[in-house]
Amino acid sequence: MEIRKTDGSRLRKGLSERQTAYALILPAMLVIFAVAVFPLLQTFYISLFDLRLNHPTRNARHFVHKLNLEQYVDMTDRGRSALASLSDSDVSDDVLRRLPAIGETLDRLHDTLVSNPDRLDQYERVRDLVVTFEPVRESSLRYFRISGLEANEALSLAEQLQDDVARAIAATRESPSRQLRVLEQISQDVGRSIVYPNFIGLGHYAAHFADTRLWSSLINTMTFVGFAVLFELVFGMLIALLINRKFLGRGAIRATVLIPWSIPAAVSALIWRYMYDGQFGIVARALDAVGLIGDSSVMLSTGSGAMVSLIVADIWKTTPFMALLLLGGLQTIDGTLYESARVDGARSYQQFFRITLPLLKNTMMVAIIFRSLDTFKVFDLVYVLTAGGPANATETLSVFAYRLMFRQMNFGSGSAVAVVVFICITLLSVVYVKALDSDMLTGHK
Amino acid sequence: MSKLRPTNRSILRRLALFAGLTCFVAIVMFPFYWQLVTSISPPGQLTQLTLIPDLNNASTDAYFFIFRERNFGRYLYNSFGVASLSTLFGISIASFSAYAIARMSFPGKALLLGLVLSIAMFPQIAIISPIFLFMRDMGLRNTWLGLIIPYMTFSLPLSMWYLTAFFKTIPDSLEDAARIDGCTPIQAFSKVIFPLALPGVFTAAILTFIYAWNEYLFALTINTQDAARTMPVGITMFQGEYTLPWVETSAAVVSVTVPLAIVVLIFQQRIISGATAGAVKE
Repeated sequence: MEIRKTDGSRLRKGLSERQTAYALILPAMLVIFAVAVFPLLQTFYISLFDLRLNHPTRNARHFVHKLNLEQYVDMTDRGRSALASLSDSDVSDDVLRRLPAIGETLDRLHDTLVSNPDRLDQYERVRDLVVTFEPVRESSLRYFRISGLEANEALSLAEQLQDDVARAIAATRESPSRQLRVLEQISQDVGRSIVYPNFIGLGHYAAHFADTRLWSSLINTMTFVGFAVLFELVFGMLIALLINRKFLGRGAIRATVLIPWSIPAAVSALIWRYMYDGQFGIVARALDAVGLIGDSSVMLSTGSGAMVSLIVADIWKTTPFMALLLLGGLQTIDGTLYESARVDGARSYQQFFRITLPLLKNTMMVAIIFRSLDTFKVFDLVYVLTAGGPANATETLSVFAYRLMFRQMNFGSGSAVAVVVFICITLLSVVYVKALDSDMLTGHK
Repeated sequence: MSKLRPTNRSILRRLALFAGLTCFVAIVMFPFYWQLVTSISPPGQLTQLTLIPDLNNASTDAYFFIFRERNFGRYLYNSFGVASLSTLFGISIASFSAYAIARMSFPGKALLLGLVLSIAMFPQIAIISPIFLFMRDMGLRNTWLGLIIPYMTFSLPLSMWYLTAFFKTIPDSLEDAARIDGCTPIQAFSKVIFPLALPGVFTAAILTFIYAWNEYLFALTINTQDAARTMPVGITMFQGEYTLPWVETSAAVVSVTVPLAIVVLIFQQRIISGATAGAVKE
């Protein structure tokens, strides 16, 4: 309803509205791209590498062979000074005779790796930093690229160095001096300054697909989702039908059911873990007393017991939410339908199956979609209640990915599982959207 | 119904309804009741707890213990700070874009809505590794900001969705009148629409706050220092190597559930309308 006098002013107004709109959505777009979309791509990228945060040479992503100059300079310098002071010191001739070989191997290593003027220049610059105990911050300075051939050559020289030092140590009659010990350590470690490419393409995926753990965690996840959502739907429907009537205290009951939904899942997991506890748990002891389980430790110490425990805890927490969703749908059904059905003599179960269920179909579909997508991602409930145990029997995909990443620090492998979770969710959404679409189409006909 | 004389059958139905509801409420509330009973139990009597607690022997030591000996007060402070600031930033961002989506026409709107919806379904485990590496490299681990950034992002889908629907319920004519009187779009938003939209904004804020207050995965991975932990993580870290101190844990659970229950009771209508907003509309 804008007032437009001329084409020119309409153009200006249209443009300014569009610009304002873009300015308004810009912050949300930026945040979503920076914190959700871009990291997702990064996760996929990380999953292509053998990236381990607790590994000396695999804690960063490398496509090619590289030399970690900072480490190399530090080790060879310390090696040479140990060698020099060893030659000056009072050691037996047997040992002294073996020292030049060590020096030669170090020289050959240097010639192999620092083989051209550019590398020599970079080597000197890093060395200036290392001798003053400055950290080398830029990775372009810390590393230079070497060929695979050079890397292999350097590695065999490192082994040669190990042999040389071992021979010198074998020649000592007394216990080896401190300098020899330093040399021994360095000969063992110098190979670590050579960084191998840890780009492994889809290697993690291949390994996961060939292994049983990914599949069993997928099955665990689907079992959990299937049973939890099914029971939530049935119980949710019962409760929705109950509170759809008018009665005293309806508001209070609606509020009551919201409380389990609104507490943190981690807290509800703790509440249930206590009740399932083999020693103190009231639920475990009650089930034991009525003879449903063999002894009170069954709930959390057997695979099926733990899975049932998880499903029950999830039902307790989210059935109320399901009931509220379904209640929303129930309240849109025209009450006169029931009246005419009653007049026609339909019994209440007939009313339910002929009127309520068909009219509630869309709401139920949406509720199932929401809940199953949400449950598929389950992490905190499982992590706190069973930690995936016993013996991985309740390990879901998210818990598996988390354990790989943050317990084993294996970010590459864990990210691959995380990508699998994402793909599963996407596939589920596509299937659901298709189902919903076709359902609505047939509904329109 | 009331005109008819109550028959035996309708009395029976009422009784059944009443019994069903009582059963349901009892099942829902029992775990909380049992936490309360446990939290006031005298030390060392966990295996002898009875359904009706012996109030003469009740002890409130656990409540003092979690605040004095454990860092529970600190966890609550962190959770409150992180959740409040996430709500503030998240709702500001969400209300700008929800206003644009509800009121303005611009190319790419469908794409934006699709993107927002897909973020709502997004498994957060799928981005935890780059987010963790980013927070580590930026020095944001064990800070509030390290959690606020992901929380405000992942609260956007729900709040944008809800606010867009809410803004659409405000009549266009009000805004047009403001525009005719010479308001810029920004002024029309801040002087006319925003005050009318406040109830909706408030609902979205409650939901965002609850999400940020309850979040576990980011809090567990990014803030690992005890002093930086939020409540849900801190409460699960009470456990020792071999035992879980159930009395302390239950005292902590009761301390966080009671205020939350009060908030839920007060705002139940808003929470229900907000939480089911995306789902009930097709």
